[in-house]
Formats: sequence, C-alpha cells, structure tokens
Amino acid sequence: MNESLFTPFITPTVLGLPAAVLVILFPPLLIPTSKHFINNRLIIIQQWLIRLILKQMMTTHNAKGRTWSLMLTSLIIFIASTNLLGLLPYSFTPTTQLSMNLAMAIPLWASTVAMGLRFKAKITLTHLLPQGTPTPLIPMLIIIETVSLFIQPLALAVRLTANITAGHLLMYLIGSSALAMLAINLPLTLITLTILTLLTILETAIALIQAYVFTLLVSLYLHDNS
Amino acid sequence: MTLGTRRSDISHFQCQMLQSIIKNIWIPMKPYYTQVYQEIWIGMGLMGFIVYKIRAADKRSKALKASAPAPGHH
Repeated sequence: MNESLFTPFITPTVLGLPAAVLVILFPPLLIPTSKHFINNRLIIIQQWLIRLILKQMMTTHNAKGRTWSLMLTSLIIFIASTNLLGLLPYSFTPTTQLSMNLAMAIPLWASTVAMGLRFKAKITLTHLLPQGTPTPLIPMLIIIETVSLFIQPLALAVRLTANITAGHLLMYLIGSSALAMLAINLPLTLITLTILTLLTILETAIALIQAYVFTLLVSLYLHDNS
Repeated sequence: MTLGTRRSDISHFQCQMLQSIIKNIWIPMKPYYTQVYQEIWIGMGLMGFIVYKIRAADKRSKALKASAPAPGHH
C-alpha cells in the first residue's frame, strides 16, 4: 500500500540505484519490429496505426517539415505508450515528472525556432507582429508575442505534467476513499467505485489525447517555421 | 580464467557491440543525425545549458545553507 500521496510520483530506485532510465526505455520493448515483408496480425495492426498517425500528422507539411516524420511519430507513440502504461496500478509514469517533459519540450521547440531563424529569418520575425495591428499598439504587441513565444515550451511541458499528475492523483484519492468507506457505507462505496471506473476510462482517453496534443503542437510550431 | 571473462574477451565483445551499434543505428540514421536534426542538437545544447544552470544554482544554495545555518525562527 502506498504510504502517502507522493509515493506514486517518486522516481523509482532499485536497491538505491536509479531505475528511471530503465522505466523510460521499457515501452519500446512492447512494440515489436519485423524484418519480414508480410507480418503477423499484431505487427500489421501496429503498422496500420503508425501509418494512420503519419498520414494524419504529416499531410499539411512541406518537404522540409516531412523530414521530421520519424521524430513526431516516435514522440506520439512514446508519450501515448508511457501514459497508458502509467495507468496500471503501482507503475511509475515518467511523464508526471516536469523534468522529463521539459527535456522533451525545450529541444523540440528550440529546434523549430532555430529552423525558422535559419531558413526564413524575416518571416519568423514577422510572426511576432499580427497582421492589421494599429500602429500605437505595435511595441506592446511585439513584447506580448515574444513572451508568448518563450512560454510555448513551458506550456507544452506543464500541460502534459499537470494533466497526467492530476489524473493519477484523482484516481488515487477516489480509490482510497472507496476503500476507506467499504466498512462504513456500502452503497456510497459502490457509487464511488462507479465514479472510479468512469474516471479510469477518462484517464485512458486523456493519456492518448495529451500525447496527440503535445505532438500536434510541436508539429504546428514546425509548420510555422518550415 | 574462464572464457568470456578475460580482458581480451571483454574488449572483443565491446568491439562487437560497437560494430552492431554502428551497423544497426548509426548507418540508417546518419542522414537524420547529420542533416535533419541539426537544430535539435542546438535545442539539446540549450536544454543542457539550462540543466547545468539549475544544478549549479541548487548546489550553490545548498552550500550556502550548509555553511551558514540560519538561527531558529520564533
């Protein structure tokens, strides 16, 4: 039984040695690769899913943006699989850690900005001022747009962290309350367990949606800058 | 010594691992790492710089707290 509210979020250690890297590297092991042309059903389903993600995500990009297909597909599969595995009891979810999400968001955002400044510097700088702005408002709006640009990686990371952490906390709290009420009030426990079931379904959806949103936003930043 | 634990065995296995890494990872991914992801390396450098700054500040504040322990507050 977990001792406190923070126990699910402590970075895992095995006999004092950090096991976080192993936990992060685990989800790809569940996705088999194949060297054959015609595969079994599991791999066909997996390939169909990856093609669906690829088509959905990369049709709006130009040739330069499509060189990022591998990166974006890997990103969404990694975040989705990590989030879904975190819904299992007593598992550790790396995406609840802000450090991990910042480590994903900052390089990707910075690289889109660097790409924009490198290949289309003037157009990237003109993005800092929306079209049709009245002249007196220009300095203030440039400052606002610059601030909103620098907030993008923070927002990406914090959005993912907060959503996953909040969901796990809620599940933990409602589960604990259901367990505590079991000996006291059975009908209320059943209602709480129903809420917990619905919440688990919601958390599964959130796990997938958050992965999609993260990748979609990175793809959007790439599209603006490529 | 038993086979597989001698120094020459260990370096042989390390060479094999390096060859496997080069053949399976570096060669297929070389155009990505060298051309496509150039800006991502820059982003990773920026992130590494931020991590270094945060760690250094943490170490500095911990050293400061340890060297000058605050008197008890009422």
